[in-house]
Amino acid sequence: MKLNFVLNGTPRQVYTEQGENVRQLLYRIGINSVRNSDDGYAFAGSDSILLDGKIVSSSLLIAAQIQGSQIKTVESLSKQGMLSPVQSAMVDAGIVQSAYNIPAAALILTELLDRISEPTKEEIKDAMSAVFIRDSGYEQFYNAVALAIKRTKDPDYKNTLPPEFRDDLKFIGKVKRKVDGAKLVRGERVFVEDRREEGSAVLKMLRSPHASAYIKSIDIAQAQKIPGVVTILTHENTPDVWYTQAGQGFPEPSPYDRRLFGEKMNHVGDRVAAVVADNYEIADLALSKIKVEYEVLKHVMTIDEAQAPGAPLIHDGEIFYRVGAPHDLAEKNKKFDPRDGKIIYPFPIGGDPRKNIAASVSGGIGDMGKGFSDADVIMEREYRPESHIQCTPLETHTVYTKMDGDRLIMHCSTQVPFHVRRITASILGISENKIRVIKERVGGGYGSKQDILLEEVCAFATHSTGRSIFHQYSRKEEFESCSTRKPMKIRVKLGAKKDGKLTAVYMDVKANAGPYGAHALTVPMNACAKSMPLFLCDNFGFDVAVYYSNASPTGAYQGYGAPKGSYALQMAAAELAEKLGMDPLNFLELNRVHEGSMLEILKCLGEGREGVAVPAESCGLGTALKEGAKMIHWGKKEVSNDPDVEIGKGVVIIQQGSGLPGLDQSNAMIKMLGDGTFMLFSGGADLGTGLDTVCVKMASETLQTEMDNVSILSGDTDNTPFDTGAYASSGTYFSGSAALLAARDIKDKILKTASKILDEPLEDLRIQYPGKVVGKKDELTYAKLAWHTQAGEGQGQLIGLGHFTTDKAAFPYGAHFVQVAVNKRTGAIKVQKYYALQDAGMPINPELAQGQIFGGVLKSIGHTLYEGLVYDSDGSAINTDLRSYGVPMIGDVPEDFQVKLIYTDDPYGPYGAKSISEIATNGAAPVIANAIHDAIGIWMRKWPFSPEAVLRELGKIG
Amino acid sequence: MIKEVFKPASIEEAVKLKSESIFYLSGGTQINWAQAQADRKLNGKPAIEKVILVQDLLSKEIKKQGSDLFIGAGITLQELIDSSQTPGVLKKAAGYIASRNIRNMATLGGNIAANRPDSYILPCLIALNAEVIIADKEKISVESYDSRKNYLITQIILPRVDGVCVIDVALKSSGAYPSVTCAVRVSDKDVVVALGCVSDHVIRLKEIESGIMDGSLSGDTLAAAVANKIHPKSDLSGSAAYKKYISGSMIAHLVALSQKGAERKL
Repeated sequence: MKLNFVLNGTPRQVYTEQGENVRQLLYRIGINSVRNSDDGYAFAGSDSILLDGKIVSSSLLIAAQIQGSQIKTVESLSKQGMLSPVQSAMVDAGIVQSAYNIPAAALILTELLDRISEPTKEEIKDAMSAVFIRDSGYEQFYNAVALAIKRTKDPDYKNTLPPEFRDDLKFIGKVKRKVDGAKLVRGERVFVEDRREEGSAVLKMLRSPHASAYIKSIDIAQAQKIPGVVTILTHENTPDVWYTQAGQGFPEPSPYDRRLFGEKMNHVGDRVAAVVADNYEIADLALSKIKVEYEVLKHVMTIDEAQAPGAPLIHDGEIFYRVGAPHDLAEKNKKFDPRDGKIIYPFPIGGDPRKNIAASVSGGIGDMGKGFSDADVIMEREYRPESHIQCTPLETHTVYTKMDGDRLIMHCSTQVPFHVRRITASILGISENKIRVIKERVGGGYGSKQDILLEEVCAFATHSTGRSIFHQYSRKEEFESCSTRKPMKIRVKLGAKKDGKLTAVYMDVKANAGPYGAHALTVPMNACAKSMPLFLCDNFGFDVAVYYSNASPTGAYQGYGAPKGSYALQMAAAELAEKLGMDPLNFLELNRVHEGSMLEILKCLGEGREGVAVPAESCGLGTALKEGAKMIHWGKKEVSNDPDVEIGKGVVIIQQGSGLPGLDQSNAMIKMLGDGTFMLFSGGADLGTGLDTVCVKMASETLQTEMDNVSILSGDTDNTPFDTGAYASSGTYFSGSAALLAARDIKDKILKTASKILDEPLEDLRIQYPGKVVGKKDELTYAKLAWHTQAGEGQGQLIGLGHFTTDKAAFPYGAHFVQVAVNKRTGAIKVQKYYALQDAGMPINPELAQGQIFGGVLKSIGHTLYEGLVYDSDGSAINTDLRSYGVPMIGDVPEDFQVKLIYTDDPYGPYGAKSISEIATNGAAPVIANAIHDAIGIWMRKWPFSPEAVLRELGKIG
Repeated sequence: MIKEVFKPASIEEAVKLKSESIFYLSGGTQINWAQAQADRKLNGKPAIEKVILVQDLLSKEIKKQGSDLFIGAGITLQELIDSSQTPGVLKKAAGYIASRNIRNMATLGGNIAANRPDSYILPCLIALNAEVIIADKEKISVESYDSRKNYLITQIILPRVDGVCVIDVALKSSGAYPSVTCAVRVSDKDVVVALGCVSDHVIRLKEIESGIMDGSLSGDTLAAAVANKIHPKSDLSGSAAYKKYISGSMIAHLVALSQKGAERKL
């Protein structure tokens, strides 16, 4: 049909099928801002457009419905590249982070302000009701609207809402525009899908319908004959190379227990075959023609099932060790099933696949027996945070691969470009110099893009066929074949004196790894490592065991194992406090870590290496607890006017780390350009959090030049130096420190060079804003310095290098306070107040730091109250769309939601900074559980705390 | 994917075009929704490939005729909320659809025609004794509307009713599918109790209504009677036991509220 409509004020005529989906149509004709986050379910709002003045979801429209219509998209908002008041307000309010659907939100807020000049909070909530935001929560949208209203009248109005820190600094700790904010909010072509070229092929995966099965036979002959099919990959024609998908430092503390395609299927959604074809229609047809015969096996889904005697074995293949093989390896390998392939351990991590154990570790300090015998009160409890929660990035996993001569180019949405290169090279059997990985803007990662989940298949297909190939997970694939946080059951035993002083702390952590062992050791260890050191005690002990199962794959998720460990230990602390007759806040104060405390327990909690005891050099817990208690009126009992409703309060303390000292490494390089501006090259992988902005601020502050004079290229394995990647809260501490060191290096070179040019001694020179060297006699601008160094007789371009490794730790801390209202009749829980007070050292980007905390808290509220995959009896997840899975929307935000940044000056972090966002996920589960207890006297020891679960605890449902 | 779209010039033409495999398309939130196609596949039904576009044929007007309120079936749920003529309880029911995007697209006629068991609006319409006018048929009550017939609804009639109508839903989160949707209207002359999510369509509990009317059911006895009367299946939104409990509790609570003549505070 000939379709006529007006697009952003311009009449358009497009030839299309009547039934073409409007979102696809708009993207096809160059409208980048309409994205697909949910396969046409219209839940996430990424596809929003203005149709005849009303905001609608374009994926629910067909072409015939828009004949003669007026359509507006976010592309209409930016005139000559300038941001509209709404767009600039959104960037400066800190809500433009991973930003996959931020352009849609900009359009929605613009429509709102056109409709209502000064909307109320409820009206903003209503406008945003169709938009799912995972990264920054929703709270700062209210600030963005307020700021946009001000900017409509005064375009230069400054955002004064976020706090700023240290008056002596110009950029660090100040609200400055995120360096990639403008292009993200404008909806530019910045994501992997935007790199796809005309004529490229697509890859689609045939996935296992069975939770556990062997492929008895696979027949691809009919499928291969279909014109337009490029290649079909199966276990019969792909390399027998075993690897881990975990993007961790090499050698990884994870078993190599998978290959591109296996003969054994270990979960519903496991890879059976991949079809590469000219287009999706051909690929779908080919998938339907592949004939697979399975031998279906009994499956196991839970920790209890996996550890039961005689349980089916998930990996019954031959076991290998690169180093440190156990003495009984030959015994264990006497019998194995070759169809299961191999398990290769890079080094021992306590795995025993013959018992479904992927990894295990035990340890402790002091004397546990003495600790418990010294106790006046001993308490033991089991907690079961066994929900299969999902990262749910708005941009699903996506990759585009192509050849450039004999080199493989990979456009990835990844947190770990250098690990992608290393792992891909090992699978393809080629050297790393033959691969270039380009990290594009990442539309949400949260840990799930720390793993290599689809990149290596596409890479192999491109490398073996020469074709450019695009592959993007559907939302269903994202649920079935991405990585969840490991479900856990945690037994906690505490001993304490009558006065509340802890004498012994023990945690027994059992985790469900799912079908493969990515992060098998470190996630559950982290449950101990990021919860135990919050308490000072002479006797700590822990046992950790991780079991394979046929549930969905697991891996990293913001917070790693800490949210579940924190849930168990903080809740146990509250339970113990009650048993002791103590106020839980007093109990925490009595036992908590302080600045300078030596954290002895960490010497047995290294991540796959020997740990070391380190001190808590900076700790803002005291201030956080004091201020939080005041904010929430701790100790005051609130009373509801609804007789069905009781109100309760809770408090917990939390911590995380800042990267992995001794394991992580970051590098950066900075070049002075011909006009005295700078180009910064960082290996770091900004996944929307503002890491690029952190790095630019490091350089600008050090060199006293405007941020606009420092451009950054990051996460490109050809053009930026090595970095282990963005995980374990390493970004600011590691990548930021590397940028700082590079800036300091070029600063030294600038001063030395200026000393010669100005003929003044080095000690008389200093760097001064804006971008110049000032001596006692004269001064030299960077522009002149650049001319001197880069002219024909110059000494050469000035280049600074920064290399950061450390054995020093910087722990972020926090105290979370909550007030909940619990309806005893319906079981409904309403989070009335949530106050997150967090010590992140010096917050480099205060507004983004707040956004990450809001986002982290809201994610964990969702995890606690309602999120989770549900499986049928065949092991198949039945809620693989965002709505039925259940994610927090703006209507779920606590009524009074506040984030307070507690300033401390860490001696090791760059400008005193520590990590921000992961820690924010650690508080919600225990603090809500404790508040529910305060309200109605029940302890919620399982996730999720749904209304039904509350009613069961109350005995109202059998 | 939809392959053929008919664009009739009139309601009459639209009705003539209708056949078993051709569906009316107005807002698009049901027909074009990926879940709808997935559900059809799951239930062994063929994909929807042919549609009759009626979005420009259906009225959006709300007008009063005598004591009845006539609402054009093409009105979107947001337009329904924005109209000063819409009864408050119906606005509230439409507002339970959390997404403004969807409310801007979905039509009242389409919502009735879809006849979803978890509809927020149908229990309310049933409690209000609402009727629909079918394009080539007589008017029928919403309660007896049969979506399998795939009628073209042109108008919704809200007759004047007595008493207080109150509604409630049970949700895990603001965007979740409901566990239960419910509407109750109590007056001196009649009682209506309509319940969603506990059967394959929204149901009316007439025996319960009689018990409420004659005073034999109230409070805990009412809650227990409701729980005994319904036979929900466990699903993602909750177990059968939960649905029984919460339906009983909700209806007892709403009845108490409506008897007090008060609007329920949520």
